[in-house]
Amino acid sequence: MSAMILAEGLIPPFHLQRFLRDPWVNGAWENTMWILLLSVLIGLCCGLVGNFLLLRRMALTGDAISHSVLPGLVLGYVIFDSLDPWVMIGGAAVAGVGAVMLIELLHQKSRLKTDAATGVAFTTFFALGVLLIRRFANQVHLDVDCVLFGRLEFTVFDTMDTPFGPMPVSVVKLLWITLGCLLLLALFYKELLITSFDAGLAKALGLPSRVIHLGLMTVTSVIVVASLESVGAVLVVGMIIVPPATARLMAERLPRLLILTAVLVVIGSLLGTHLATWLNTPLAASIMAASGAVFFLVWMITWLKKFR
Amino acid sequence: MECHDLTVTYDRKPVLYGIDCCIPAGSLVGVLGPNGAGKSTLLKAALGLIPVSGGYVEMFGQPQGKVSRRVGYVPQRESVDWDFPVTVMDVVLMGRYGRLGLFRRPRKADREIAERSLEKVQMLGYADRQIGQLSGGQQQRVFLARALAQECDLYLMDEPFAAVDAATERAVIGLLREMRESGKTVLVVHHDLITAPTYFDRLLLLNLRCVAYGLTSEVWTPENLHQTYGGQMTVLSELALQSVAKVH
Repeated sequence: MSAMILAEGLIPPFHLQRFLRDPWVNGAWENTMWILLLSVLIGLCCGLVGNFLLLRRMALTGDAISHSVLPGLVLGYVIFDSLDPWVMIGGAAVAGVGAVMLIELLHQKSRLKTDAATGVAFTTFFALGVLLIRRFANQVHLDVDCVLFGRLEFTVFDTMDTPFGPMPVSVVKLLWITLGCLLLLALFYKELLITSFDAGLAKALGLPSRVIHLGLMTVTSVIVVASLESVGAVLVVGMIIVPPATARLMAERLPRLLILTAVLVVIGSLLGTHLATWLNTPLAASIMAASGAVFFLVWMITWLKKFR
Repeated sequence: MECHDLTVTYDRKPVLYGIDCCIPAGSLVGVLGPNGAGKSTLLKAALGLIPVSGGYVEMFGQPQGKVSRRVGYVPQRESVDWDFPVTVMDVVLMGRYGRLGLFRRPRKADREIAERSLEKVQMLGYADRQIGQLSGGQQQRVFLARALAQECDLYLMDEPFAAVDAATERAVIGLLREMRESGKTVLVVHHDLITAPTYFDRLLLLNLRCVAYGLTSEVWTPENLHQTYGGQMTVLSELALQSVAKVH
């Protein structure tokens, strides 16, 4: 009995109307649309680089970068005294790539393996970031909660004028970044493919594998910091890893993997937004939970298929 | 290809020491030595994949970086993830990437070259398969096809005969001989002492330093083999010594 009461307290009764219709009724639909668009854009960027990180067995480098960008953000703000998104992105990219290079240096010049080196570098960077935030607390409008968990529901209120009417600043920012990512992917697709599959051959062919590697790390840092404000450091990692991992269960070819990732991102965002309205829970976490649920569903289906 | 006093160290420990050799064009050379003798290291250093701490390697009279398009590489099969989401065709096309340049996609001509390369290793029927579905021997043949698609004059191959079936082994050695006939130079890391003297015209016996290098008939002696394998002589190498008797 008590278990039922507990369940009732945890989960509000399921109203199809509340789950499906409420986000789209008169007052709410515009907001829902922007939130959905924003989370799809974030998911697309993260999923794109995430696929390549996974293929390079660097899934947790995404984690490392998402935490390491923090001191870059704060220092960017302190040095340039501006909250301009491009200053933040620049600072974060420097910190992110710096952390990756530190990890490689530690790995090469000590007996530490990459996992330990990654652990040392990103926790130190993150701690440094927290210290910096506290130290410059009265100047910096960054709070640790926002960095960790994001605030997807509020980022859409901050609008700017565009040729298409007022749009949330974060959506405009992410639109540019998504376009940039797609362009870079189209231009460097074959280099990304060969350096991920066989770095030795890429080097022997005289391809700039080092530049490609650092480029991917820079792009990852940029994406992470652009998404950070909305979904937070912890969930950025989920966005980078979960949709590509789900796609990997289903696809055997890279182009299909990328397309499937995009589809999964849309499904996860839709489900998550509705879930958040029904359960009245934070958006970013709901989207992540929905994506996680989709992953386990797909995994179970592929697993059961093997027994047929 | 020429090596001059080539030395490679890992953590200040030399793993290759003072290698000198000159490999004439159109030869099929076997690189032999016990585990940890530096066979793979020699190839990687020659290709510029790992830093060299002394000496230098020249190919076609120039440093490797300048002629990377003319040098093909077949890494060890285990060096890549065979679960990777690409097809056989995708992998063979990678052999063309060095010639394509930035921002260029493989064209029809590249596809035709890749198809011809696959045909040579009898793998054309598998072009659309995901590479994880292949057997070990088939994977090795895909790697060879990729090297062929590079259309080079010099090939460095790391254990192309490792753990392959008899059919693949025959196909591969046939292909290597064909390549030699057409004037290509092929350097092969090999570990089977029984087949080595029959496969290659030249041998490089390696154990941290170059024990012996030259024409197979001159190098393939019990003294050289003992010096190369030392205490690590196995049943196989004992058998090889018997084959030495047959060669002479």
